[in-house]
Amino acid sequence: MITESTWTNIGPVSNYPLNLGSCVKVGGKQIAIFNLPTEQKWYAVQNFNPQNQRMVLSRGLTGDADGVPIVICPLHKYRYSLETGECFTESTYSLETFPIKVDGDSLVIEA
Amino acid sequence: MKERVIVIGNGMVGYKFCERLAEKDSENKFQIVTFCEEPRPAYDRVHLSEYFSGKSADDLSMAKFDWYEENGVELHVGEKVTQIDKVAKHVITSSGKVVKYDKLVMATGSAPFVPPVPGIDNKGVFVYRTIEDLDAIKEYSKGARTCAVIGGGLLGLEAAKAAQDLGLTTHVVEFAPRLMPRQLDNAAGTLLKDVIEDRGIKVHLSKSTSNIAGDGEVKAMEFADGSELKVDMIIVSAGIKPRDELARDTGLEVGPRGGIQVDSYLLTSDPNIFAIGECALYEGMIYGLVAPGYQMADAVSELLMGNEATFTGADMSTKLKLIGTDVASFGAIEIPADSNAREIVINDTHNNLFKKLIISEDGTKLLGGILVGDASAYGTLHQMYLNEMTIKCDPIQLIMPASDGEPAGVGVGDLPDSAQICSCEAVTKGDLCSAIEKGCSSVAELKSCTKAGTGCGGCVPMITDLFKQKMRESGAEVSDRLCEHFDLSRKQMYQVVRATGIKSFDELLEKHGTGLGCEICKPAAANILASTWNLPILEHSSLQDSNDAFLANIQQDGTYSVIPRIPGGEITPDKLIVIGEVAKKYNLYMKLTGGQRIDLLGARAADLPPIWKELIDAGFESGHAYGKALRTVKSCVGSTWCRFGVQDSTTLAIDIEKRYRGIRSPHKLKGGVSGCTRECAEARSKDFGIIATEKGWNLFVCGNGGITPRHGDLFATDLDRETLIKYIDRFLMYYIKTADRLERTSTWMTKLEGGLAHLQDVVINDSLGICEELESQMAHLIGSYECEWKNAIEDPEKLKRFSHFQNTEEVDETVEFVDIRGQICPARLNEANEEESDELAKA
Ligand code: SRM
Ligand SMILES: Cc1cc2nc3c(=O)[nH]c(=O)nc-3n(C[C@H](O)[C@H](O)[C@H](O)COP(=O)(O)OP(=O)(O)OC[C@H]3O[C@@H](n4cnc5c(N)ncnc54)[C@H](O)[C@@H]3O)c2cc1C
Ligand code: SF4
Ligand code: FES
Repeated sequence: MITESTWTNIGPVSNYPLNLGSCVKVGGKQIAIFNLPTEQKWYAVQNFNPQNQRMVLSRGLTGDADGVPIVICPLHKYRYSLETGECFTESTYSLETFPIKVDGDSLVIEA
Repeated sequence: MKERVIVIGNGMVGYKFCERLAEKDSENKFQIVTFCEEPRPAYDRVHLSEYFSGKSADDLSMAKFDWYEENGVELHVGEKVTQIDKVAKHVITSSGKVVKYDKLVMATGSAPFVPPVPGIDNKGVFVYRTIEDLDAIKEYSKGARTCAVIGGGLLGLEAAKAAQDLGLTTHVVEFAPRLMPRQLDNAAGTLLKDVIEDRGIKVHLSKSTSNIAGDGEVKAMEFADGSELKVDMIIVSAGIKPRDELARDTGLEVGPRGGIQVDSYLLTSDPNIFAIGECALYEGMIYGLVAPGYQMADAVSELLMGNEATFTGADMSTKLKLIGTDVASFGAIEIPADSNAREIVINDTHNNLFKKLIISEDGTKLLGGILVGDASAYGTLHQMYLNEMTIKCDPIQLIMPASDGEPAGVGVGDLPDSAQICSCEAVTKGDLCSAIEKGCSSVAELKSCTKAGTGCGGCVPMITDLFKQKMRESGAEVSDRLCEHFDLSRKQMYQVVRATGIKSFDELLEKHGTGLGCEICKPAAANILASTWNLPILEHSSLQDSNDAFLANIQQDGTYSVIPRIPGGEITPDKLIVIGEVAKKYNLYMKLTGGQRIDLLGARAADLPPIWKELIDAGFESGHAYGKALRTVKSCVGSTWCRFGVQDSTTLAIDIEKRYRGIRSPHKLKGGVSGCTRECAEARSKDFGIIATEKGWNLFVCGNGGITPRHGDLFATDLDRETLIKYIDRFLMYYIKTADRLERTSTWMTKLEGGLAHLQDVVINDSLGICEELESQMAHLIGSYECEWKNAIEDPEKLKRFSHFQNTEEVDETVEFVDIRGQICPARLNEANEEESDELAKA
């Protein structure tokens, strides 16, 4: 039986700085990925910030708002949930989120 | 039996009436039934344009379906009232319902006026009033490149901005010889035209459209003067026409130019029928703004409740939103005929600023005014006008930037409690103050509990000012905790870090905070850690704003700027050549900054390390333009060259800039040194300014340019160099230790208890006994300086992050530049689909 896997390997985990965002290109899409070491978790969202229409989210700070992990746009400080992509600053915006996980030594992403 | 009130029209005003009556009718005396022609319940038409910038129809709705249900208001959507029988007292609807009423309220609003020009029925001609209109415009714009808006009034300009945002080359065609003819005078209109044209919208004045050419689809506009404009689509915004057709058919009295005639009780010629909002004609006037409509809605709801209320006209002051420049007018815009009023005009075409005030003959009362380019004074001026407040200063001060500290105009604090701050919702200053006293603890809460600021939004800056002022007055209630993650103020966090020796954010968070941190506490903590321990900044890069994390300022398109330090503005030809060569090699835009140095812009993150490598090899250092740190110490040529100079200001500026470079502080720091009192280095507008005297140096502190300019205070006179530097060391360190985050020295000073005298006491007389400590902490910071960029390029681990993609070498193809005056510039968002604009072609 052949199962179609949509997971893409984006290289060894050690390539990715912990605590800081990075940007990867998967199938033509720019995706911002974040690791929150205290949470032991990886997150992936679109790199494109719908508010200012620029590819900048991977360069944003991370943190939490009322316990929800967030990324904050470096240009105008809009806050987005890393879990759902919801924008807390202006509810009309939202981000696409992508499943991401560690597989052996590598990071894989479904995009 | 309940009395039945039927409301025809569920627009902004019809809805507001339902809301007001339902709220007041606590005994349920009335049954409210409303018919709504549009396919959805009332929405915020004032903010209609935001539908293009991402708001959904749902976001714009005034109230959800649930609201109507919960409040017992019977809503019929998509159902129009087609007939009124005023004798039988019933209405007939488009679905054939016959419904009896006791009282009828007409809130049918208005429709855009579409001039009967031949060819206007071609495809591609739109109006701009409903969500459906906007949907149609958006859809059609996909196949269009140029758009003309007929009408250069308030709404026309808003529509033009929307068309431009859709990526269309946009023209505004106005019949009158100026824009916004009803709100502006000639000079203001001319200036506004220039500003709008600078933004890429072409304006054609004194043009009357005689024909719209097309073959079923719009092709061009033809004007009475024989000229022609090729366009693919047209938005008509040439004024409004009250929806009085139903009233006419019913035999109600209407005005000669339209509008349902009402008296001061908002009654039509039939004693059971009221009319409110944009369909109502009161004393020959249609009120095309929400605030007057809301006042009418409120009055009718009071009358129905048996209370006394009248409508006797309303203020028509306006502030234009969305066009990218401020425009506002209130009261009289010209000197009223046969009055002795006077006018004061500032027409600064150089800065695109126009300000005009009409004042009473004796200069004590404000009768009206116009503001273009900077309408920040609108809130206060408008209030002064409405409340007929006495002008206590020289009236010109009201529109001039004040030279020292406080602006001369009145602040919210001076307004009487009865002053209406929000005219849409009729909320007074007194209402807001009591809401704050009852516990509203944020502007958002204040808005939701008083409704102030929820209409046109024009009053929000004043509400915010009032809120802040009340908070300041009540002292204790102002929480100065940094954010949800720390129960500490910046000053306390600084003390904790210094006292406990904590060197990382994680440790700080673990011991004194909660959660994961955020964009407020992380940079604040990084800044404090740097001000205390002075470790290379990239060691905290995950805490820093993008600017500090990349050691460069992020620009609007996501690229970065590079500013090498040029101490005192002095530079050798060889070094200047290196900067030029680097800029050329990496294709960077080059500009002299306001701080006497050179900015190289448009660098991709990945190019930053090689660029800096070349600059550092040539002897440059980081200029810290990205950090909350010392920027520049501006200098003049001083006694070395200048025929007036009395001391060597250049050398002192260079030495001081080098002394404090790299030191992190609560906000950026700037200095200046002038060689004599002529003050060519503008030292008094700096955080610390030094002016040479015959005997030594005068020191000024806490000056500021920027948002609220403030001249520095004279701190000490005729100092020798050594004492001067000692005082600056102590002053800066005291500021670093005690100021709030992002607080410049000038704001810090205005809040400092005891003010200048206290500061002099601490720094000169050592009244707190901390001077030794201040000096040694400063000595540590100076001694541990290291160029951050040099440190970074020598550390491969730190450079990891400078590539755009982590999994490929590709560059970010979304960054695009265009050529402007021979250099690169970021492409605007819609530049790609913008074509050479079609010009007005003479026929
Ligand atoms: C580049 C420059 C404009 C230019 O082309 O000349 C500039 C550019 C910026 N200024 Fe400025 N300012 C520049 C000179 C000034 C000056 C003039 C001066 O220093 O003599 C002032 C007024 C003087 C003063 O600060 O008192 C000035 C007052 C401001 C302010 C208002 C500060 C205030 O306290 O009111 C801000 C906003 C802020 O800091 O919050 C600001 C903020 C900014 C920021 C950082 C905005 C931002 O966050 O993106 C701009 C980014 C710089 C960049 O990307 O490189 N800039 N800015 C100037 C850089 C000077 C330098 O060599 O470092
Ligand atoms: C783009 C735009 C920007 C604006 N900006 C501002 C601003 O910044 N500040 C400001 O103060 N004002 C602004 N306005 C004006 C403001 O929106 C109006 O003053 C306000 O909407 C008037 O409310 P109304 O209820 O009288 O009319 P409307 O909002 O027009 O509502 C009337 C409703 O009645 C319905 N109706 C008509 N006849 C019938 C019938 N026979 N049966 C059933 N229903 C019927 C209509 O379909 C409509 O839904 C703006 C308007 C537009 C279009
Ligand atoms: S401040 Fe004085 S010394 Fe300096 S350039 Fe001006 S006039 Fe000359
Ligand atoms: S004045 Fe319109 S919202 Fe307050």
